[in-house]
Amino acid sequence: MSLERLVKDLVNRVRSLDDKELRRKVADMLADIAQELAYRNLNMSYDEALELVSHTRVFLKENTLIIEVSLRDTVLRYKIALHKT
Amino acid sequence: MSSEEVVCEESALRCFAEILGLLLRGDSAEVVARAYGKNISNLAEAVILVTKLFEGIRIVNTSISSAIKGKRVSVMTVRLRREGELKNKGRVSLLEHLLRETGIPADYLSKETSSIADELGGDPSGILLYLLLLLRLIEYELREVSQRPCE
Repeated sequence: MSLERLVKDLVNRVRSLDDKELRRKVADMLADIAQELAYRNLNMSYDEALELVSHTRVFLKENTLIIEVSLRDTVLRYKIALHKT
Repeated sequence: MSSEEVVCEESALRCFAEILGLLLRGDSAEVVARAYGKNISNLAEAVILVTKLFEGIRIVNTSISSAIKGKRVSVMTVRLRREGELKNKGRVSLLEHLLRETGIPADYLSKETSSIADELGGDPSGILLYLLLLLRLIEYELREVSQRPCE
């Protein structure tokens, strides 16, 4: 089973986000983050996971959800466009 | 001390992430987690997971009662408190929990977990924890924005 498959199972299982389209975009982004993290350290500890949460910013700018993950050597930045209402 | 409330439904992992996510947000946060009927076992599993994995989280009290929600159902309530910094105290595989929730039979869980870990070249449980918490951050942000008054 691939890491991408695991991440998608995780997102579906925890039933996050009611909007299906947004859930799909977020799942794709999480799969990408997972690949980046796995490339650096697949065996990340739980303490390292909590530490990384404190180096993560999630905010909305206009109609775009922005996620920034500060790793030691780089910052991963993702933008997800939300539906206009 | 203010406390936040979580209602656990059919995913123990989601319940675990909601409890942990809220406890991480404050210095001495308290969370009241509740579940009804068949979801009680998910709450119990989430509480076991959160307290097994991290020191710095204390169960303040637990109660079981019954309520009328259309029909009579059992209600389990657990009050948890964060005391100080959270530190990992035990290795419980979130990968195994995820596989269990996706329907892998108990007899094959351990074998399937090791086979996936072998295939990937390690256990991604730490990454799964991070992703669960990141999902919570996204949900908090979207919820807060939807509750902000229009300018």
